[in-house]
Amino acid sequence: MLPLCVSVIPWGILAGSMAIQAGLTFWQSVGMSAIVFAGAAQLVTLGMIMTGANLFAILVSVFFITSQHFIYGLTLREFVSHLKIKLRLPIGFLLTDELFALSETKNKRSELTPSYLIGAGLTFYLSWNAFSLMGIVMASSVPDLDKYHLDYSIVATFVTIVVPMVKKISTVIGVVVSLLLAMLLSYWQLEGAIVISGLCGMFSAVLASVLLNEEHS
Amino acid sequence: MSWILILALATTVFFNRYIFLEPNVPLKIPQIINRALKYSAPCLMTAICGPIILMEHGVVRDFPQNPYFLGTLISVIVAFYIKNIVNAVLLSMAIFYTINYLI
Repeated sequence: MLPLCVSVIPWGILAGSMAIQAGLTFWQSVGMSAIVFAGAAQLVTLGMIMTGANLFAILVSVFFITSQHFIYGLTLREFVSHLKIKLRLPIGFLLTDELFALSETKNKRSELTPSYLIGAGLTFYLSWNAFSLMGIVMASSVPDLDKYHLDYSIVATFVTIVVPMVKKISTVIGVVVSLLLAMLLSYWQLEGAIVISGLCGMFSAVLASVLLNEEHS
Repeated sequence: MSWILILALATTVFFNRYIFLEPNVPLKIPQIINRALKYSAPCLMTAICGPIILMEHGVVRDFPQNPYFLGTLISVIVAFYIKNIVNAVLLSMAIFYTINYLI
């Protein structure tokens, strides 16, 4: 959990400062991180605002960017759908990339209780908002946050989490396919590049697993 | 405009996050999808990194003298040897900034 909170730091600062740069007021910027609570969606939206895109285009893009959450929902469904609605809704709201990554690092399924998910989710939520606020405040004082390359923190964190997960050749194949396809599709500026590459990677891995006759749990 | 945008964004994001957690959404998951879902974490997290490593605001970075690319290679090696996630991430970031400084 702590490493994911570490990755939230630069990411959150980036979101906060970019909101100010895109012309949002202080409260709108705070509101964005507090109400939307979605790093990638926030950053892409702000980028689109700065290039003058209309509301509809932004919503469609955000729909595709966050469509990877469909997969998170599907993956966590077995743990969450049987819970009471007052637990399901908060978990749904708090279900970010980080929370999903965290839940996937738990080897024992029994550890994924609702209190764990909500507790971890709220921790990320508080961190996200605290660091967004920092970014909002810094945007006025620190001129060029780009040169600090804060976005590398996501790469560093995700690589560190993914590497131990790669225990089978099928996983290697899935990861390589996802990586190369994500690069290609985003270069072509295809909406939903991430979710499409992720899905292709996943199915390539299953195909490889079948062809290589791997044992599957 | 902006508050409407923020609320519309939040609704879209929440919808995507919640829809499959709702038990009343009838969902019979075929076996193959179940198998594929097991790979979702590594594949999606890698996919998210892809564009960050490749491009800066839509412009493809230099290759191979690009701190993101080199940093990623080193991060993979670091992750392989250092089991503690926090230390591994901090080390990766430190090396990344060092490469950034040197290039």
